Amino acid sequence: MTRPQPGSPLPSPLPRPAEELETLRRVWRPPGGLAIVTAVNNNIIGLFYIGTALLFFVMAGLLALAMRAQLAVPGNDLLDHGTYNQFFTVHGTGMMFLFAVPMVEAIGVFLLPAMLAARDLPFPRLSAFAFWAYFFGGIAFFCSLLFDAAPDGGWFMYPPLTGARFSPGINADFWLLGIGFIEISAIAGAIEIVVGILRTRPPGMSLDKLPVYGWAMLVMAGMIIFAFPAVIVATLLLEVERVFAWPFFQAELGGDPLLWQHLFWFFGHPEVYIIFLPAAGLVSMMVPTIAQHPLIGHRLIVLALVGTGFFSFGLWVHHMFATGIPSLSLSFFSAASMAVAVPAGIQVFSWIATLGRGRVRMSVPALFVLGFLFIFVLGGLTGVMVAAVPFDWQAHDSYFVVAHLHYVLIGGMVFPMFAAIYYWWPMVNGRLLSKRLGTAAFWLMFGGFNLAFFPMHLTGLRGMPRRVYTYPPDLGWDWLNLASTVGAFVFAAGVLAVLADIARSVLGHGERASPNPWRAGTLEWLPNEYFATRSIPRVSSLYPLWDAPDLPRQVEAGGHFLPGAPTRRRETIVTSPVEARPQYLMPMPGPHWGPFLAGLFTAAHFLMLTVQLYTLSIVPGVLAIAMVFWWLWELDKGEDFPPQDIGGGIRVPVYVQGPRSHSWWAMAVLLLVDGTAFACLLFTYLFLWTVSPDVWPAGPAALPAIWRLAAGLALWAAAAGAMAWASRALAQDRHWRMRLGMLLGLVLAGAAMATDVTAQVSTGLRGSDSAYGATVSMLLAYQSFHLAVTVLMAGYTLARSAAGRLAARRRVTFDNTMLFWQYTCAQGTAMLLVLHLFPRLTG
Amino acid sequence: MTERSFVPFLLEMLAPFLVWGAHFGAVYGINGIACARGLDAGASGPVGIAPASLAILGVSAAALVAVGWLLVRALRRAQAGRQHRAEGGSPGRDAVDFARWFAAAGAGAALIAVLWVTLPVLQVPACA
Ligand code: HEM
Ligand SMILES: [Cu+2]
Repeated sequence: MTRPQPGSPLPSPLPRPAEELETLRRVWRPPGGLAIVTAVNNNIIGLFYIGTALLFFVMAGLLALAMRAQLAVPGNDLLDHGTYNQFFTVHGTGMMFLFAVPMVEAIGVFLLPAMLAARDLPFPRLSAFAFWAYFFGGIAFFCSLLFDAAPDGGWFMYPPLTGARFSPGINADFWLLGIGFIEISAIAGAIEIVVGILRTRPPGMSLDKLPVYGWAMLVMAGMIIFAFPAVIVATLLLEVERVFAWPFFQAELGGDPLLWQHLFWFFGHPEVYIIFLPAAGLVSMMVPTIAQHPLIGHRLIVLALVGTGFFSFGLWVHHMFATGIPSLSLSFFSAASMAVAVPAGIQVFSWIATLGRGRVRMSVPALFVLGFLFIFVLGGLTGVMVAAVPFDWQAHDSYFVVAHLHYVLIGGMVFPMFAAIYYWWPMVNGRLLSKRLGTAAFWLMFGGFNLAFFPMHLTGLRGMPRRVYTYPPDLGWDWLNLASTVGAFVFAAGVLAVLADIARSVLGHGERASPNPWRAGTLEWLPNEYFATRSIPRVSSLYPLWDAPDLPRQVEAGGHFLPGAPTRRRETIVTSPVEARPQYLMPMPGPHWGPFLAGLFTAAHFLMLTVQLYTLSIVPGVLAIAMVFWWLWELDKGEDFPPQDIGGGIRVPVYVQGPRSHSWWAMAVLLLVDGTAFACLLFTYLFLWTVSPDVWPAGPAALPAIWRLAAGLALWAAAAGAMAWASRALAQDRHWRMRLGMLLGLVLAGAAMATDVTAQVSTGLRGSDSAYGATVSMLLAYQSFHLAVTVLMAGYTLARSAAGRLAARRRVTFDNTMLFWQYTCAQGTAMLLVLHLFPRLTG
Repeated sequence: MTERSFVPFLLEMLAPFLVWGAHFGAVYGINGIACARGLDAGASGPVGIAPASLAILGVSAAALVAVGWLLVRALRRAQAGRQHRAEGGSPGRDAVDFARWFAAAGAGAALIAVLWVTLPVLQVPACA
């Protein structure tokens, strides 16, 4: 596609028939009344999501205030130590997992489609499901406090403290099961965001014209894909150790508590950037508007974002400097930790340069951005301090670290978030939030924050450890703690002011905003309604609204792409990932009860597991799966549309299958997540072998016979082959042959699994014997889980086939199943090779 | 004109960082296993470097060669792209130009990062 010349004709000739707008309004109308919970549109789910994250922010914040009240004076007895432990655990966990990560994803769900001028994200029902699971799960998690059942092992839940011996009772399980499953929501969101950014950009927005926020979210989603599996595997291992006594973390049986720390922090450090990068992306969108000047160093910022994404995976051991890891190993991580300050610095300098070059207009968002710069830089400086190993040995587990982490988290994420709320609020209800309240809120928060957290550097250096519920007088900590407490309450007053401001606006007060109140340059400020923009603009620069001042009018009149709803359903344009050329028209699902109910039942299932109602938990578990199938079933109604005209003389198909389809992409991303989780299990195997070679089998005699390996490999290969055969049969529309192939393949895969399990059992191996037994059993269990999912997916595919909804030219369902199926066979093969050959090679 | 396929495009952009990641994982893994198995004995030579550390230096050298090659290649391609455009080449190559710039800058960054991470090998005892 060539660059459109100024004055070249619009993609859709004007004026448009009136019927188009009516159809758009009708098909995108949100459900009313109580049925609003069936809404799936990103405008609505995004707001639910942001609101819920704010609610959890306030709840976790109230716990912080209670803790600060307890610490105001020495020897206080407002909270006893058990309660205090629960409070800091739920505060930290809630802030990280239920506020910060969901909030950055929520803002993305709300903002990204608008910034990309897409009608919605590609998988609206998945977003809705992820939201509801998080909503119910998060509420249940906080409610555990009411029953004295909240986890109390700190937000990073180190064993052995959190193992069955030292944490009997279900408190720790609330963390492991509750938080563990909410992570699934985060992954669903990441898949949505990756596919959305890469495939639903407006025509002409090639990757070099993607706004920085898009890059930030892309990097964030990539990091979720590779980081979250580690914490999911960790929680799985610890939960299994607690329930079945498989000793992953028990040194007596060859386990190692450090395994937890490695897995947790391999996730935990990237987590910090998962929170910070999207916030930085928001800042990179606001700064050019505030300065009325394009961002200086756009490309460098993109490089910095991607670089941070990679480097942040080389930092995890800096949380483990005090655990006795070899000094050279520590030095690698110390070096990488200092290096990661460079990309952060690039961004900071570029923001400052842009602000300096432009004409800054003071506003509430501008204040919060400046506050962010100040606080975040201070947090970054103490970060470089603790990256130096000897300094960290002094400061470790002291209030210095509490100060540092709040400077980066509140400075790096909370301040940008408030800036964003003030900046983008007009998109919510067309009104501006109050400048007076906002300014007051800013100064309360900025002053309160520094008063609360700056003194903690000093209490820390004076030796006050973190996570203590009280302290004796006369250690020089008294007035510093009192100042912190006062500051915390001042900060809270600032938050209250913002909430009041929001409430005012929701109730209909406040100044009406013009369509582009801050005179911004990006697409989210185009005039829009529930269906997003009337037509999807042709884009040719980074700041389309600055470079083509007439664009809003053209778009609103329907002069660009897809000015109506040609199939009379919800739909958006899918474009190619690099150069954003239109490829096809994607039909999108509308409101449905499935996602809401599936979220509710998933949460119920895990809650029942937590309180050990194991049998009963099967009911909501099955129901949740049924709900998912229910909503999936209607996604493809089987209608056939001819290719449609979307404007600009472009005619695109409505149904696309194979590697170009968005569903293939989503499956590919999911398999990356899955493969990472498997890699974490292999790491577990290697790590435990490194620390405890003595519990590994000494030689071939202690291992299953080699023919069992051969049989297992042959069966997995045959299962994969049967599926390939079925695929070829489908391509020729030979349906009975396809069904036969799938059934045969399932039998073969089942036989493969049985062979693998009996092979290990034949040596008398048990999961509870040793770390070796536990790891092998876990790998087998993981593979069995994949087989179970394959069976479910195959069953669904066969049902589609029986209903006549599967054909050579309509095989997306089949392809999804096939991708997962073939992955499962490959994973089974890899597992067998490791289990049988590794001990033979090293034994 | 055909659309650039995505995976090679992405790999070209990210290759330097992937090399950095592989290098980081390898040096950490080698040192971890060496120390766990007591392989740090037998320091030899004037600087007293343990065999495991020599292996690390070898891995670092390989990583530097790889990143250096990526850097040269990316610079050449970026150069060719500029020339192509100066000669009035086809428009609509913005994404490609961007990727080439990105690959070159990323390779520069990765080069420094690999050196920076390797530096401690010469200064810090491997296990102790
Ligand atoms: C309203 C402002 C806040 C105040 C007054 C506050 C206060 C506190 C206090 C008193 C502790 C316990 C220190 C200890 O006993 O060791 C703590 C821990 C923590 N806070 Fe905050 N906090 C605030 C906001 C946040 C935010 C926004 C985040 C994250 C986004 C956060 C993340 C954490 C974490 C991760 C911990 C560590 C918990 C643990 O030790 O397991 N906090 N905070
Ligand atoms: Cu860290």
